[in-house]
Amino acid sequence: MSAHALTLAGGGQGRRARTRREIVWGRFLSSRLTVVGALLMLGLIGLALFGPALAPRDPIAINTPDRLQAPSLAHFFGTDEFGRDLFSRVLYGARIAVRVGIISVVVAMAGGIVLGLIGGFYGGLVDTVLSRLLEVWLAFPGLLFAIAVVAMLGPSLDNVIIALGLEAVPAYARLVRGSVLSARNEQYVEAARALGARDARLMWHHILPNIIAPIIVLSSLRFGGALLAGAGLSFIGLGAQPPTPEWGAILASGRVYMRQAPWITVFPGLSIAIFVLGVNMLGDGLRDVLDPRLHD
Amino acid sequence: MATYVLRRLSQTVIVLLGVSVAVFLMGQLVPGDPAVVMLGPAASADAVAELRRDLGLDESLWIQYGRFIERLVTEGSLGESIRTNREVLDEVLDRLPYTLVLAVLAVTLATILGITGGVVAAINRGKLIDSAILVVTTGGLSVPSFWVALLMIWLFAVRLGWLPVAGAGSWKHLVLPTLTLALPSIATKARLTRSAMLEILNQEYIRTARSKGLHEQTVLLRHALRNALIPVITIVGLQFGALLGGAFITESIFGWPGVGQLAVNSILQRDFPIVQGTVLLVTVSFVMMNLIVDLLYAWSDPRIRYR
Repeated sequence: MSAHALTLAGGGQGRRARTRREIVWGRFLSSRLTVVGALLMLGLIGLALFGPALAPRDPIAINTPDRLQAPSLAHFFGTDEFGRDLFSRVLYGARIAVRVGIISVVVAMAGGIVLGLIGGFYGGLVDTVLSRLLEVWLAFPGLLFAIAVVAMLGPSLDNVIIALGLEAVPAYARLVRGSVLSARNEQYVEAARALGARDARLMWHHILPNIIAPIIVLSSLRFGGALLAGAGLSFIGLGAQPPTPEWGAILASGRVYMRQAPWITVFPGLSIAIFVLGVNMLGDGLRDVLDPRLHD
Repeated sequence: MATYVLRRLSQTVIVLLGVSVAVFLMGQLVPGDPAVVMLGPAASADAVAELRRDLGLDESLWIQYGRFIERLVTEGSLGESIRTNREVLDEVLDRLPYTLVLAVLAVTLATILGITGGVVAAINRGKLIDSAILVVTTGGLSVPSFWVALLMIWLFAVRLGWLPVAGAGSWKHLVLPTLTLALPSIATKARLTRSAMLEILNQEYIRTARSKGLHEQTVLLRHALRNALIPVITIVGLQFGALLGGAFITESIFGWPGVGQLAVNSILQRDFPIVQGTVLLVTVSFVMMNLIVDLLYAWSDPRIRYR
C-alpha cells in the first residue's frame, strides 16, 4: 500500500499533467478513422499542389487518334472521346476540387463570422434583424440557394464557388452567434473590457480564438460538402465548362460513352468518392477530438 | 398552444415576405436588360425604351416590388416564360406533380430503410453489423449520388436492360431516380436513429422496463424506438427540403420532367422568369412544409410549446 502511494507521489512529480494540446493530439492519433481521413486530405492537397507536375500529358490538348482507349500503361486511366489522357485530367481535377473547397469555405467563413459576431455581440435590434435575414437565407432548401445564385450570375465554375460559399454563410453565422452569446458574459471577456478593450478587439482577439474549434469542425465538413455539390453542379452543366478537367464535368461528358468507355465515368467518380469520404472522416473525427460535447 | 401557433405563424409570414423580396431582387440582379432579352439584340433603342416603359422597368425598386406582389396575389401571375411565352406558374405547376411523386417516394424509402438500419446498428452496437452499417452510411454521405446514378444506369439499364435509361411513363422510370434521391438521406437517418437509440437505451426507464421483465422486443420497440424517433421525425421535414433541392441534379440525370429539370434547363437557356418562379414555388412549399411539421410536432409533444 505504501509502495502504491509512493509511485503515485513520484508519478505526480516526475510526470507533469498533460496539457490540453497533448490530450487533443492523443485523442486524434488514437482514432484510426480520423488519421486515415487526415492522410486522404493531405493526399488531396498534395495532388492539388503537385498533380500538374506529375501529369504525363496535357489535360486539354486534343489527340483524336488515341480516342476512347482503355486503361493501359500508356494511359493509366484510359483516354476520353477526344483522346485526352484521363489520368492527367483527373490529376488536374484535384487542384480544381481543392480550389472549390477552400474558396467556398473561406467565403462562407468570412461572411458567417462577421454576421455571427455582430449579431451575438450586440444583441438587441441588430441581432433580431440579422437573425431574420438568416432565417430567410435558410428557407431556400438544399442546393436551391446555390442554384439560384448560379442562375443569376451565369453558369461557370467561379460562380459555383461563390454560390456554395454564400449558401453556407448562415451555418457559420449561427454557430458563431451561439458561441458568442455564451462567451460574451465570460470572465475573460469582462476582464478585457475592464482593461479598456474596444468592441472590435474584444471580438477578434478575445472571443473568436475561443470559438475556433467548432469553426474548424464545421469547415472540414463544409469542405467535403462543397466538393460534392460543386462536382454535382458541374455535372449538370451549371459549373465548370468543357474542356476544364473538373471531375463532375468529366463524368458528364463520359456518360454518353458509358457503353464503349466506362472508364471515363469510373475514375473521376471514384476520386470524388474517396476524397469526400476522407474529408468527412476527418471532419467527424475532429468533432470528436476537439469538441466531445458534439459527439453523436 | 395558441401562443405557439401564433408565434410560429407570424414567423412564417416574415420569412415568406423575405423570400419574396429575395426572389424579386434575384430578378433585378440578373445581368442584362430584360427588355433587350425579350426583343433580341437587333431591336432598336426606341423599341427597347418603349418596352421598358410598358414593363414598368423605369420605376423605382419599391414600386416594381409592389407590382410583383400585386400581380402574384391578384392574378396569380409570375410573368411569362421567355422561351414559350406561357405563364410561369402554369409551366411550373405542370411539372410540380412529377417532383412531388419522386420526393415523397424517396422520403418514404429513406425513412423506412434509414430507421431500420439505425435500429439494427444500435441493437448490435460494436458488433460487425454495426460497423458495416456505419461504413455504408458514411459512404452514402460521401459518394456522389449522381455518380451512383450513372453506375446504376450502366448496370440496370445498359447491361441488364431491366429499367429504362431515362424519361417518364411507367413505374419502372421511377425506380432509379427514387433510389438516387433517397441515398444520402438513408444515410443521415440511419446515423441519427442509431445515436438517438443508443442514448435512450442508457436511460433509467429502459432499465426499469427490462427489470419489470418485459420482453426485449417490447422494450426496444415500444419504449426505446418511440422516443428515439422524435429527433428523426424532426429532420424529415428538413430532409424533404434537401430532397427538393437534390431533385435538381437527379431529375437532370434521368430526364425526369419535374421542376428541377425545368429549372436547370431554364438556367442554361437563360429563361430567367421560369427560374425565378421555380425557386419561389419550391421555397414556399418548403417553408409551409416546415410549418406543418412544427405544428404537428408541438401538438404531439407539449414540451416544445414552452421552449
